[in-house]
Amino acid sequence: MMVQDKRGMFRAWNVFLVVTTFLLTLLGTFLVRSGVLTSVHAFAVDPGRGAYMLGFMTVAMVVGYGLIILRADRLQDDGGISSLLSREAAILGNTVLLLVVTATVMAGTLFPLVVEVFSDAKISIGAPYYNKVIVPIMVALVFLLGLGPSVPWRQMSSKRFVGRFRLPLAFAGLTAVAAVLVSEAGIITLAAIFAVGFAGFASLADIASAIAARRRVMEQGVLRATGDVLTHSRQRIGALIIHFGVVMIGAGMIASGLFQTTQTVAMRIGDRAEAGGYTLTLRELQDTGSANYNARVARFSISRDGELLFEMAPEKRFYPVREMATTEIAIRSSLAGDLYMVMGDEDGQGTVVVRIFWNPLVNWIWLGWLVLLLGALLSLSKPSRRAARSRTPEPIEGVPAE
Amino acid sequence: MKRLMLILALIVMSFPAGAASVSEDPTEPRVRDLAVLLRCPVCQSENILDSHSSTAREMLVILRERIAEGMSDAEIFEFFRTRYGDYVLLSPPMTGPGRIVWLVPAGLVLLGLGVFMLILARHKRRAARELKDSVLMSPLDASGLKGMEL
Amino acid sequence: MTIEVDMPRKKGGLEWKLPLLAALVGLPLLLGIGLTRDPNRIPSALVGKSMPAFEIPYLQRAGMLNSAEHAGKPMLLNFWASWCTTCRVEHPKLVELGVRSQLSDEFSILGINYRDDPARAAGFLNREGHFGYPSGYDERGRLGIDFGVYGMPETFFIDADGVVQARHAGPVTDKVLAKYLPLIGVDP
Repeated sequence: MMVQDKRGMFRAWNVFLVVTTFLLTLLGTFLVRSGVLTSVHAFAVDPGRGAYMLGFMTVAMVVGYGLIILRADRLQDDGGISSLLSREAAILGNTVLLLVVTATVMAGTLFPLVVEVFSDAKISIGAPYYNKVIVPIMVALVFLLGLGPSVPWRQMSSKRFVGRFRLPLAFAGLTAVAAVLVSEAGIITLAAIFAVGFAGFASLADIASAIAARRRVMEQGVLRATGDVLTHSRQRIGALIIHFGVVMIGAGMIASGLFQTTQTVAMRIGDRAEAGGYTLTLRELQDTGSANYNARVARFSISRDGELLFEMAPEKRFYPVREMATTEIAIRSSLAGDLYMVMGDEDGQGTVVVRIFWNPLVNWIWLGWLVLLLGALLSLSKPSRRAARSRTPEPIEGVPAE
Repeated sequence: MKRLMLILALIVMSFPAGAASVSEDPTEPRVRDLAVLLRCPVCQSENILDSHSSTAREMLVILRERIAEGMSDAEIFEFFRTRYGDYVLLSPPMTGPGRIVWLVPAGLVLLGLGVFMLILARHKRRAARELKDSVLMSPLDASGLKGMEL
Repeated sequence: MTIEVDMPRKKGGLEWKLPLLAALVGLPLLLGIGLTRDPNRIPSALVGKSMPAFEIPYLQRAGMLNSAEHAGKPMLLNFWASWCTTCRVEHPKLVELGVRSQLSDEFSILGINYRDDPARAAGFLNREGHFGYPSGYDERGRLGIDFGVYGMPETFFIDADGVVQARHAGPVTDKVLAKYLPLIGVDP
């Protein structure tokens, strides 16, 4: 939409994307309600209702896509992409990549159905498939994220391109090398680390250079310059903050995926286990309970370097009225990660099986969302053009003009 | 705080000898890696590691036994596949009708790349054409050209 | 001065219009067909293959139930449990089949008590009626897993050569028997 706004391009694309988005929501509703597929998300098998929804979706599809097909000639572009090294091209690349992800997920979801209809065989496509297949595309997207805001409209000379991105690329390379030395990361994970390092550095560097430029031009202190930059270039800085939020989410996902440790251990009272730099010692196994349940608790004290830090107590509960057993996990969240414990079975002779998880940086995923939200709010708070014009003129930035 | 530490120290020292530092059975990571690829047949899209159902638990026990017997990954998948069919594999097998599933994403990426380059090429062609035409018409007012698409 | 020129309409674009049209037709068709199918049904991987041989303890007598002892004749193998409510629906039919098997000897029929408590299973049989044929006791469900059982009740139709011809998930009814008994060479 930004491109349509600024340069009158991609009109047909935007109409197509809007129609497709609506149709996909209809498809999603249909899939979980009609019972065409089995899934944790499907909660009904109702072919009757499913038929109605399919009918409605078909009508919407025919009208939406039909109009696009028939009226495409009215959606001409005013301008064109003049260079590969331009923001228009980056946005187009971004759209294409996201569409590829959507198409892949849709293909994976519908493929078992296709196979079943044509050959009566039944295959299943689950999380492992999607992880293997979508992550590489997402890595490319994150990399693009680092490029986009810093590439100007229309075009950019390749010399300038290299100059702009030299530092972030170098930083990214260093982080990837560090990752290789520290762990057994596979190629895709290394690429992901590279992309995240690149985009993170590029976003922060852009914000920093905007503040630095303003300081230089207006001869202000750092705080004043930061405040001014946040007020006057909201859309741009907001976008960079949003992108950095995405980078944080990506980093959280990579860390909690790559550096996660899981262990299933059998412990007696007094035994110690290690996870995430902590030492976990089993103190006691108790029977406890409340009005509506009986429970068996395993109490642990968690320490680091001999210093007692906190306690954790996973338990297993049994609710007699419903004859239902549940496990209550124990979790301890910090900025560095989550320590997570599940109590397993006991052998009746003092040994209990415990599953211990350490998920590093997983809370960055939530923090990243917060950062993203803040960036979005900043970006959306841009005053109207007329109001802005009546104030001091746009500050000079050391980055390509918006 | 200090008193707590003292009490705990006393408790620790009174533990029976043999309290040990435990670590996990070295075959466990392999159990986990394989278990997340096996579907629980009685659940809705859960693997046998995450599922709480009794069938999943039993399958996990069977998995551990097969690993202890020294079966390879392929043999273990084949073991479950003989009993439940391809459906029990959460990652479709590389043989049989499911094979295409792996080619589809690659194909889509190539398609996307192709579309991207096609659009770029078309825009460049049009830009070149416009440039050529505008050079021919240079005496005209530039704003007037906006009403024309040639 | 602005020049107004009649813009030539851009024709063509078939390269994307055609796929869009195909999707427009193909997707609803695919989903429509999908609606007619049961998503929870899994085809048995054993059909066309030899039945797995087994030896498990009897439910209500001493000794082991050995599948080899019942070879050479068509066989029905029925998985049941006292906790399975649908099993009560098919119970009379199974008893009937048991009587027929005893009298005519055209086929053998066996039960497998799956993941059950023997006391509860006995209570079930006392209430609903005894089968007239023996049941094996699959305590942990291992045999069920070997047969690819994913729900209760399930009945396997095996021919005289020991090849599994069909697996029915759900209660056995006259319709089901009419469909599957001929496959193992028995008159329904």
